[in-house]
Amino acid sequence: MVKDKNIFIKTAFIFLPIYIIFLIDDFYNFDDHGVFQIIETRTEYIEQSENINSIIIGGSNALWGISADQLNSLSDNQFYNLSMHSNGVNYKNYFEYILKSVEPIQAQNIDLIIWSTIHTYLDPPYNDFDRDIAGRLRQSKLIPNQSILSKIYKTFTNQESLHFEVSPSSGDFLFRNFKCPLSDKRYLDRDLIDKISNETYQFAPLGPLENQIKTYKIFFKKYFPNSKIVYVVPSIINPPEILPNQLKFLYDNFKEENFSVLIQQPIQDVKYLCESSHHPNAEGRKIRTTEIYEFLKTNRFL
Amino acid sequence: MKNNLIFTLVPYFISVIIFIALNFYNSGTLGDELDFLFKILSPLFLALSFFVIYQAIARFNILRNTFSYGLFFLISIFSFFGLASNINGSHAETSNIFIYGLSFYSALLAFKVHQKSLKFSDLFISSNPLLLISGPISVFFSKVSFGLKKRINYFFPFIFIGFFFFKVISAPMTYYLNMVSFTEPLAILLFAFLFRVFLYFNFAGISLMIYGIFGILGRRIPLNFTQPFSSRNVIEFWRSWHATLSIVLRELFFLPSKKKFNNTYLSIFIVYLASAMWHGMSINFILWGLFHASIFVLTSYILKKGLKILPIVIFLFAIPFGDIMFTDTNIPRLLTKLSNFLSIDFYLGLNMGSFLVAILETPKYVLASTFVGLSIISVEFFGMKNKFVAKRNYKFLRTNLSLSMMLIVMVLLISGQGWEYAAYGQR
Repeated sequence: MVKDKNIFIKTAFIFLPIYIIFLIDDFYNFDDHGVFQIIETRTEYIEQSENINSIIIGGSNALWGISADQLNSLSDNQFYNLSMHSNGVNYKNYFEYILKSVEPIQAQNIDLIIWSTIHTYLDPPYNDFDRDIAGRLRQSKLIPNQSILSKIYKTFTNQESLHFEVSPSSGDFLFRNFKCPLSDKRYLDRDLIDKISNETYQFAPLGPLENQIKTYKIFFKKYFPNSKIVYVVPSIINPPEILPNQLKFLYDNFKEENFSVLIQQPIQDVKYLCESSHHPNAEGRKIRTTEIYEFLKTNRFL
Repeated sequence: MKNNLIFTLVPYFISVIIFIALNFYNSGTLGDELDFLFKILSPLFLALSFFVIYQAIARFNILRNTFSYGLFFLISIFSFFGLASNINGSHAETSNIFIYGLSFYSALLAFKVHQKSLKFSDLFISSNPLLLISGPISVFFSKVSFGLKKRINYFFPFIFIGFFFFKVISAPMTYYLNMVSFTEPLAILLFAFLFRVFLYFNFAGISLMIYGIFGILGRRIPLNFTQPFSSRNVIEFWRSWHATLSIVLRELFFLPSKKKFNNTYLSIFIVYLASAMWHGMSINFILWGLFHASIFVLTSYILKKGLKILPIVIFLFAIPFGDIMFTDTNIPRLLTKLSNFLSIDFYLGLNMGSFLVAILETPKYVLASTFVGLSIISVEFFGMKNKFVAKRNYKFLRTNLSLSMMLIVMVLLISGQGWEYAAYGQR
């Protein structure tokens, strides 16, 4: 038995400084996977562009799965993709980002918003208020994003970091340097294919989803008063059957004049996916975007 | 009267300040909607309303008793109408701010009303914001007689251990909650086991922190967990798991029903059904309650026969098996899970698919926390002959050496991965 009564204090004196140094390093050398670069790229382009009148917002499903470029080529509207991973981690981050990207004067000119979120199938809608838009923890939490052991492990195993890029002119996700292990023959991952093929989703609990929808609707009404909004339930593989009460919920929540709902067709095969069940590859994106275009055209949004 | 009031009011106000500070730490702001103000005021307002009703009916035994049961089941009624969450491991905070913390303060008020001992000063215990985070149901609230320095020396380790349990072990283990959708028997059992481990470090972690904070403030509240995995049978386990709920259940259900029916076993079933309904109004909790009541009765019978090993075996099997029911409010899926245990494949072919995938895919930070958690549970379970473990008040973790080791492990493992919330709280 250790008799030294001060051993705890001594241990703290040795290990807490190590912890604080690590905390600082962790914050300033945080791996954002290219998110801050995406924000910069988009902001620079939008600042010089006066014609944008339609935006795509949502999470990674929209980033991977909807192409502003394709919609621009099919219509007279000028779309721009402002979707962000995990819907900006929380709605406050995301609203702040959208408002900074589309300054208020431009916001008045936006007449169409495509809002595609996986929240319809998530339990519950994801909002982590401890993190910034790249997923980095607030400094005041005094907790690192990854543990010291994780950092050591990653350093010694040379783990590859994912890096996301977007096209400046459309904000669309660029697949050129990104591996799609579900469909790209060079990187096929059989285990992942099996897993994703069998992955299932549930419809989100209606209460939290309704709260999330309300929050977004207040935001739209305040900052995009002239805009029509199309709520897109994204294409995923193996979507759950949408029950009559869930369908009613969706239509009831978007029954106002300016709102509309599009429930997209399921993704039929993993060959249209990139690396997860709701991230299409370039081919899958084309299919999803075409379906959205048809909907917009049929319902006279364009 | 005045002394009693000051005795509860002072810790109440200090708790409010700590609660606001915690809110600020968690959200980074004081909140756009001033949620925390409602979280503080609504329990106090409702508790005051219940106190006024109690004053009016205190003399009438039937009315008072009915009122106490009504208070206890208030959370069940709200749960039945979908206004309060059921406990399922995920964040159970109610979305209705006006009934924040109801399950805890209504249980305490029910206890006090039933005992005919509810005083005005108790309102500041029942609605104390720190006690509403995750309990305990403060069935007693007494003075710690020693001075501040000694109190810090004694109670600080509880706060540290609680934080370690909660942040280093349970937060990363929230990863496992996704496994609730698995339906293969081995994967179901694995999930049920890991769920109980997660729940222990989450619930006990917060309870220990609150216990330590109140201790330093000079108030002794019940120790809600007394090393439940040091138990040797389910009866002991439930006495040392969420111990204050057991005290309330005993007062409100066991003693009166025993007196009325003179049948211990029937009283046990009544207690477990009441407990099930407190956790949530869903068929899975009723099944869980009936299952554990049966196991309790069986264990009691076996213990009377003098057998010692069999209750341990039943204990090790019954807790995870019960949790299969406890964790899944999706009834069709739960029935699939239970019927899979009757499948011959389970006993012959052993389909290990999702079991192996679950293990292989688990991130390393989660595995590391799980390992630490299981190590502590192992010490609790196997170390009962050690004098520090045998005390069942976490003495084995409160030694300088243990605290130093935990500090090192904490520095190495702590991260922002995983979710921080009170699995049992704020509903």
